[in-house]
Amino acid sequence: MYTTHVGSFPLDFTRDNVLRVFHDMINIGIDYPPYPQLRNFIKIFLDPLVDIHVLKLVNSKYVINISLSELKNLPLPAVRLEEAEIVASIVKKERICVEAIRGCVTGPFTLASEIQISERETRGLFTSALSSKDFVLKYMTRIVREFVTYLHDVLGFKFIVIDEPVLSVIVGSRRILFDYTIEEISKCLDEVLQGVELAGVHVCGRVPPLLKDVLLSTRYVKVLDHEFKDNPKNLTVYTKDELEKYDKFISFGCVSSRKPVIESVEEIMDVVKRGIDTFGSRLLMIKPDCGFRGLAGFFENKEKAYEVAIEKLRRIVEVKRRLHV
Amino acid sequence: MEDLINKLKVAIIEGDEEEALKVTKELLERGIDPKLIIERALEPAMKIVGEKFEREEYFIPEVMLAAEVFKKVMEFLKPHLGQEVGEKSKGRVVIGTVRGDIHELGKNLVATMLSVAGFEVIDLGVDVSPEKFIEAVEKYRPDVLGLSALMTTTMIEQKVVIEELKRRGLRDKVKVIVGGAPVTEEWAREIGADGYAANAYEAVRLVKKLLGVE
Repeated sequence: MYTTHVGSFPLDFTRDNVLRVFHDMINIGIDYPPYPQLRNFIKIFLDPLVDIHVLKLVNSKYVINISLSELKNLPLPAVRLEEAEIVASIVKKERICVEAIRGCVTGPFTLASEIQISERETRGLFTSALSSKDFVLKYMTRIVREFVTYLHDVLGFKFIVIDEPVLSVIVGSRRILFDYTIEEISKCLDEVLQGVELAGVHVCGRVPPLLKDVLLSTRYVKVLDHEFKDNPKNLTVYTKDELEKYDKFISFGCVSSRKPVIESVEEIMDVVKRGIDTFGSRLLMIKPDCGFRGLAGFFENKEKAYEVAIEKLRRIVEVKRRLHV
Repeated sequence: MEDLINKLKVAIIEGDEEEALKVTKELLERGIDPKLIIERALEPAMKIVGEKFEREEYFIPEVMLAAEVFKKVMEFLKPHLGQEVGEKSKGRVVIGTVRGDIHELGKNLVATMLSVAGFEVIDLGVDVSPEKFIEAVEKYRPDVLGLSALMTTTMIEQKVVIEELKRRGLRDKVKVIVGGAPVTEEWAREIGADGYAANAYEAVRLVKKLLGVE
């Protein structure tokens, strides 16, 4: 069993903070540390599209700035993530040895859900770019693929995870909004992750039945990263047999990302044991349910929130040590 | 008529807008009172949707589609309702997504479900500043103020609004409820809200409880 983290921390984005967080994760003993996400996980991937005028910002909303019939000829943005480059250079310089660096990339569906088709009529999700299948499946998929290639091939992050929280919103028990099919979503995730050494998808919240079908039917996704602490019902979504049949592994959320209380080692151990009972050797990693950015709101200063985040991670590593698996 | 009422219920539960509007039109053509259509078809249909959601037969997409159809049918019925709308309001709720946050899915669902449950809802939209919330509380004198935040970075704004209500001496005049993906019961307590709801159905139950209405 290994340890990892979803990505975000409650600190401001500075070079020093990126280095500090990354070093802290290494010192604690996280096996698959992510590059620390200290900026908004939508903004870092959509701002480059504003730079090349594919999108524009209207009253803080991203709005499509091109004709949707021009999708084939649209330019691709300059792909760079400063925080990831800081981590890549420090890993090389200090010869840091971990299982792999986790490269988090926000997925095409979640990014599209934050873009409005037009600035005239906006009805949230219903008028978002998710309603244009072509834009999502042909263009956003290419953009996300570019970021994956950059992190994996250029920076050498061998564990790439696509963050797709919106999938637990648009995929239900019988219906998928905007008439996407199971095949379309799983094919899109495969296109984005093809060739990646260890590929995962993170979806927080409750996992709906059809989303299970989507994720199990992917070819290249190996790691299914979900919440189990704040959403214990997720324990009933997959069986060990299904995970074996489709050759998938679970990245298991065992501490809350939304609650500032630091769980005791014993409490975390109980949650993880329930995971082991359910998934057996298919439980590959333990980690917090989601990112830690939200903890900031509970404390007078971000430093306090960060201490809580780090202590939660430290206890996850301690649980792994005590379990000897 | 019973047959058509049932058809309309099923169409809403299934999120079938075309069928729902077709059946509604037919009911009106037969001279059925629009108020009766709401009471006998729309409200029970949304109640069933809620029950299915709580049994986890339905997830968010199924609820959203049903809520969209419900809204469309309500819009279609509105010109036929005259002055009757709002007569049986159980209370007034002002709702909005806090400053810096443009997410409206959860807030819209709560607003729809509160309307279904008989509350008058004033929706301030998204990215609502504390000043606008205060203005709305002063202007509409609601029983409940609902603050939605989907982002971890904006949930702090819920606290700002509550502090501002206190500062202006308005806090005791309105119940404040909070919700949104990163929000928890603990957070609600921490910032001095009157309640937290994890989803639209819980929000309705919470508002009813806070106002002591059925």
